Parts: sequence; structure tokens; C-alpha cells
Amino acid sequence: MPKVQQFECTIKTGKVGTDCDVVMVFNGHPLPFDAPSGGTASGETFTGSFAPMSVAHSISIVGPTSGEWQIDEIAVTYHLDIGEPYSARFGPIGLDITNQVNIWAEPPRPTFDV
Amino acid sequence: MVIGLRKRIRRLLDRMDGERERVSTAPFSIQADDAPPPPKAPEPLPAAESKTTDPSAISAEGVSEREVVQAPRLVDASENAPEEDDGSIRIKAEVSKAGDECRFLTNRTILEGFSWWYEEAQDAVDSALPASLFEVDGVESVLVDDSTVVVTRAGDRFADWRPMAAQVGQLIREQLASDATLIGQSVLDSLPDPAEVETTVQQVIETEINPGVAAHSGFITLTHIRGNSVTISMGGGCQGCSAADVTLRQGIHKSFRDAMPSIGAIYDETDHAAGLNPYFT
Repeated sequence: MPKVQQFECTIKTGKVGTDCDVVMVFNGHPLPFDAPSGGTASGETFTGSFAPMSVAHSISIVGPTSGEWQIDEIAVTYHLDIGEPYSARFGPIGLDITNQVNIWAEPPRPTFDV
Repeated sequence: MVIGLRKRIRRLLDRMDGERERVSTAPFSIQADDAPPPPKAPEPLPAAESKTTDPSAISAEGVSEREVVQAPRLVDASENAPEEDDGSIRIKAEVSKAGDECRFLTNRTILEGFSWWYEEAQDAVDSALPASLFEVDGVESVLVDDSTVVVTRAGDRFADWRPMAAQVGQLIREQLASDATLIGQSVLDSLPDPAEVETTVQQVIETEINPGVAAHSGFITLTHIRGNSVTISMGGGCQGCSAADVTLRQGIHKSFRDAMPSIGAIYDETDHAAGLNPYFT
């Protein structure tokens, strides 16, 4: 299975922002983003990256430890150790203390005309 | 001349040093024509705007208790733009994640609204399309689902599919362009009532499959019936389990088809990445 060398994540916050830290979970382990920038107040955009250099079974963004967080869009670009980088975009989702949102998308399956 | 000017400036600065505190604290500068401009005072650092991402407030145990939710996947309109129909037969090959099968998506309807699984060549005696595909060396089984043909091959699942896919694609194109009976009458006469499929599948899940996978804290749910095609999802210990594919192919497929041989395609729509407590990791 291919390894994720690095991924970059952009989160656009909707009408309800959060003061809580942005925590990413890679294969069940809560981890900080490298080089975070931006914010998660209403209307703000947060960006961060991470270089796991590992096979990804799951990647998620954890809901806030208090209150709610309304996300308008999450965009992730994945760089694997094989193949070209690819991106996935996810639409609106509401997070709170009970949940986490998946941001892992497997690489597109190769298709070819025959 | 430059050296002299600098000495004068130095003397002036020394003289003014003593008066600076007494006379004024206002900033001043003396600049020679060729002297570099004094460095500007650094701008005060802006207040931290970047969000912190400290994970210490959340433990791995705390994470595992949280539900994994799935946001809708956004797709650019250009990705789903239909290809211009110029009347030609188009076939696109897509290799499965496991590498053991290849889907051939065509722009022609082969078996409208239904599917049929040909386990071996003798099942396809009156169906020209699958019969021709069984002649390709290595083809193990053929599934026809509406406008799609799925070919399973024996042998190395990591081997390059392109040579065989090119062969299969050419045969599908030839068959679609011919007047041959693509799907035999014996198959068409055997297509079951979807309501009967649903009843049978539900019964098999409740009486046979779920009692079995319960030992691994798993369960199977029937999510959709289309014609004689069945879609299920896995939960509990089955969701995300590394043996889920084995359970699907060797357990669920067999149980469904033993109970009703006319069941066609069987799909698993489980989001295995979202499994919280898989039996095998």
C-alpha cells in the first residue's frame, strides 16, 4: 500500500467558528499540524500540513472540545510515495464534542480507455 | 572627504549624547549624503493569528469514542461532464482496489436494470458476450450489470491489467457491435422479482450471516436492492476489519447465492475507513 508522504489541509469555517485547537488524527493518533496558519473563527480559513510518511488507514479532524464548529469546506491535497498528487474536497459538516470528520480519500483508481 | 564628514557626525553625536536626556527624548537623525539610512525600528510583531493545533487536550482513547462523520464529497462539474455521444462504443476500464477484477464501463445497455453472474464458461453457453470473454486466458468469472462488465482473473492480482483489459475491451466492443445475443434467453427467463430478492436476502442476513459475524461483534445490513443486485453495508467489528473482503466474498456471496442462485451483483458500500472497532486491524 502506498505511503502518504505529506498532505495539506485547508478548512473554511462557516457561520459558527471555534476557539478550540485544530486537532488532526492520523491512524488513531491525535497530532498537531505543521506550519498552521489562518484561523477558525466564522468566515476564516485555516491551513496546515503534515508529513506522516506512513500508510494511511484513517485521517480525521476532531470536533471542538466545547461548543460547535460549522465547517463549510475542507480541501486536502495528498502526496503519496507513488503516483501524482491528488486532491479531495469535502462539503459542509457540523462538528462538536461527540464527533470527528474523515478527511482521508483513497487515490483515484486508474482508469483507461480500451 | 567622506572620512572627515563621518568624524564630524561622530563628534556631533557624542556632544548631543549628554544633552539627549536633558533636552529631549524625541528621535533625531543626522545623515551624511553617502551614509546608509539608519535601520528602521522593527515593527511590533502582530498578535498570533495562526490557529494552534495542540492535540494534548484530546487523548487517543477520547478520539476512539467519537463518531466518525463523513462530509459530502465535492466534485467539480467538469469531472462529471458527459462525453459527447458520436455514436461510437466507448469502454473505460477500471481496476479494483484489490487488483483481482477489472470493471469495463460501456456506453451501451447490456442487461437493463439487472445483473448476472457467470461463475464459469458453461454458464454462458447461450450468452455471446460472456462466452467470448471466457475464451481469454486467465478470465475466471464474468459479471454483467446493466452497462458494465466485471471480469475477475486468476493468478497474480498485482500483475498489470492492461494487456488483458485491451483484449477483453476489444471482445466487448466486437460483441456490442454485432447482432449476437449478448445475454441468453435462459438468463432473461431466470431474472427474479426484486421483492423476492429482498425477502430472501434479508432472511439470510438475519438467520445465517449476522449470527455468524456476531462472534466478532459485527453485523451486516441490507441497504439497497436494484433488480437482482444487492448492496449491503458492514458495521461493528466488520467495519474496517482487514478480513472484511474475505467475509464478503467467501461468506456473504456464497450464502446469498446458495439461497437464491439468480442474485447478480453484490456490492459492499461500507465506509471501512470510518470503522471504530474493527475485529482485525
